[in-house]
Amino acid sequence: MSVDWKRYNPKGNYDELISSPGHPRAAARQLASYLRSLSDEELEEQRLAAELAIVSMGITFTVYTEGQNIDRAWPFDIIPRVISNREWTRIAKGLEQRLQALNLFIDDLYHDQKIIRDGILPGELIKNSANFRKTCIGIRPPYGVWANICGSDLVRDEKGTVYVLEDNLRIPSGVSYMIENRAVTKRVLSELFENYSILPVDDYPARLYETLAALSPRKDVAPVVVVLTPGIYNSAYFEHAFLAQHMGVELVQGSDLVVDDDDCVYMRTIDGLERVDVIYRRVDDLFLDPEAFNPESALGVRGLIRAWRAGNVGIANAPGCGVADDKVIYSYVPEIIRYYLDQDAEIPNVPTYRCVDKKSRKYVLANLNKLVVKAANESGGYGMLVGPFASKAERARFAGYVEKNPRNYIAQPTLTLSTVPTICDGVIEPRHVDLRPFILQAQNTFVTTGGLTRVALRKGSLVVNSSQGGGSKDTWIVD
Amino acid sequence: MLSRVAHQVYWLARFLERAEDSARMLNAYCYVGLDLPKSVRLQWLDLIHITGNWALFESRYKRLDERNVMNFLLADPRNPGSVMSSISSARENLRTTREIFPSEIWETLNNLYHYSVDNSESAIGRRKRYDFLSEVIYECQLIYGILSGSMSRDAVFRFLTLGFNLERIDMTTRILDVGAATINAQSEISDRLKDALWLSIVKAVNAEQMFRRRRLAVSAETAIAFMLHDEHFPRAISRCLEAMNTSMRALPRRKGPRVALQRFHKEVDSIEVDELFTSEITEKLDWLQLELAGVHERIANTWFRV
Repeated sequence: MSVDWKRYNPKGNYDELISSPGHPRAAARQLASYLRSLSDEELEEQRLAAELAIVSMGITFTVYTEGQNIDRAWPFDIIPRVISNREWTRIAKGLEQRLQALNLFIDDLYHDQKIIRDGILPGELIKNSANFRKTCIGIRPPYGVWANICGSDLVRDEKGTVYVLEDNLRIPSGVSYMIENRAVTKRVLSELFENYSILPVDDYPARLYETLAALSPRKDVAPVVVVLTPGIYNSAYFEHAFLAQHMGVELVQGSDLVVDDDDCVYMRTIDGLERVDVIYRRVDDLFLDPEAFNPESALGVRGLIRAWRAGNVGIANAPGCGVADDKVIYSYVPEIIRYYLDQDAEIPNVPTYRCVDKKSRKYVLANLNKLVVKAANESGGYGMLVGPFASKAERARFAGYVEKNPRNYIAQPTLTLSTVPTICDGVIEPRHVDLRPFILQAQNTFVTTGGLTRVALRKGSLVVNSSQGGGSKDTWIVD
Repeated sequence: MLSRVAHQVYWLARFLERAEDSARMLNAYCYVGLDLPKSVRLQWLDLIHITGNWALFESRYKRLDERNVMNFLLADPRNPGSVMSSISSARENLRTTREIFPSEIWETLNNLYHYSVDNSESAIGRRKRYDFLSEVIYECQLIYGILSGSMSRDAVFRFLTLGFNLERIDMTTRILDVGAATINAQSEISDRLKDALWLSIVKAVNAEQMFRRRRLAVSAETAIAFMLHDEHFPRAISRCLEAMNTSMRALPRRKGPRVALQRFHKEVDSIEVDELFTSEITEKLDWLQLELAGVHERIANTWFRV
């Protein structure tokens, strides 16, 4: 028995590959017929081959449970998600537009705050923002760009419209898995690559390196770039090591770096102290420099912010850029794009209720069973209530949070995310997905070809985070 | 190369070598015990002295007997020198430097770690001890083999070489030291038995075949001279020093450590085993150990503490 697409039914959802039972979308036609040509045994063989490849390639992610860190094999489904290049080109343009506007916005917030003075954005939002750093006022990073690396989450609703769900501007992760997913797919579905033109994804480390190198304060020497990791106990350590390795730069920890009396950053090597020009930091703002932020931090480098302010080192993302990574600010992004670029947003936002607004709050509290409620500054699927799936007690708890601190909460209608055929216990069934592309900006702007598709492996679930039972898929942009 | 990484790589090698050498030593020591006449008992205290951890042992155990000593040296996680601790320290060092090594190294060391967690306690008794120690030795050799066969001869490999050899010298001097002190203190055993005991010490450093091929008669003098001065045997101190010297020659800022190493080498060369009384030999060996700690300090100060 092979796959029968006539019996595959995405029901009311938008399916990325199959438009209605028996009818694959144009870009997915070859993939669908290839899968149909496989027997159940062959499909299972491919699945196992992928599983083996992931173990032997050592692709892992770290989960912190019961006081121990456990490296788990990366959960991956072999059936890729396919998007036509025509559609992707439009999305990529929208993502570039978004990041450009957000960077102008952050730069404005740390300088004249015109957007507040012009009455587009209430000043209280920034005053109460957990991620606005007074230390950063007046600093001008290279090209005026604060968020050099952004991972925006895209979702598609049942009508097929693509929305931006959130912008991760602090230290977004997942890009290494985008690249590794492709490597695994090449191993197990290599036959398909003969006839499809699937656009490659592995130029990302080179583009990232260019972006980082462009931030170097020393133009006369080859820049020394490093990746700064909190260490092996961080859940994204695999990615930190991956990116350092693929860019050919050192992976450093806070203790490897030192800021000298000349306000320059050096790393401790067997050759002695070596000057560092650019730091791709994967450490949160508040732990970066005990002198400027959290004095308890052992992860950071004393004096780093001093060196940065003096223009002696580039830091990506710039400290303080998280001010725009806030779900209340998110709701203003269409206005932000209009204000700075005088353009309409190419990709719409998901309609968002700001709980700080009295009328909206009333509506949210009355409709908790229909809405998704999110804390403004959480990530990774934490601090979130999915109303329709939550218990009465959970809803009551969130109602309490919202009333106590309305500034910190927003609500959105529960979107039915689009689905992709996924192997579940030997059977191909629809499962919900999102998509995280990565956007780079320094001197130039770059968008990944596709991104990381995350899939909720449990039936009906909308939670795609790998820490909470999500899996992933390769994403094909096809010509 | 980052100082932190160099430091971890160096200690990875030291911990691996320590695990292997301790396993060899325990194997040989227990083997010797079987040859002794009933009137002569193995001095378990000697083993504790070799590892230099008497105070810790005393604070942790009431009785000095085979079971406690074996527990302390094999399995005790609170003894940083136990086989188990050496293996888990090696693993921790590798965890943070995984990306610079071939993946088989991690897999093998991880296997060894899990094997030791499961089996080190059962090896406290005599019946399963040999199997356990042999497996540890085998796995360490496997890791060593993968490293030599698949690592580029760059700075990483040089710090590995420094770590392996320095630890080897350290363990060899300890074994010789305690061997000389104890065997010669046994007034009631015959010279013939003493030679047999020296042979087991040669075995403990895995030198039996190579020693025999030099057609040397076994005695305290020949065994000690071989382990100090042989230029070809990879566990002999002279040979280890030469390997360290070669590695250092290709490292930056090598002057201080090389001077210390060469001075140490001269000291080793100047020992004339034939002309010394046993008591003088143990004094010399004790002193060598202190000097070796000085070489380690120079290495650490130059490359790890930037």
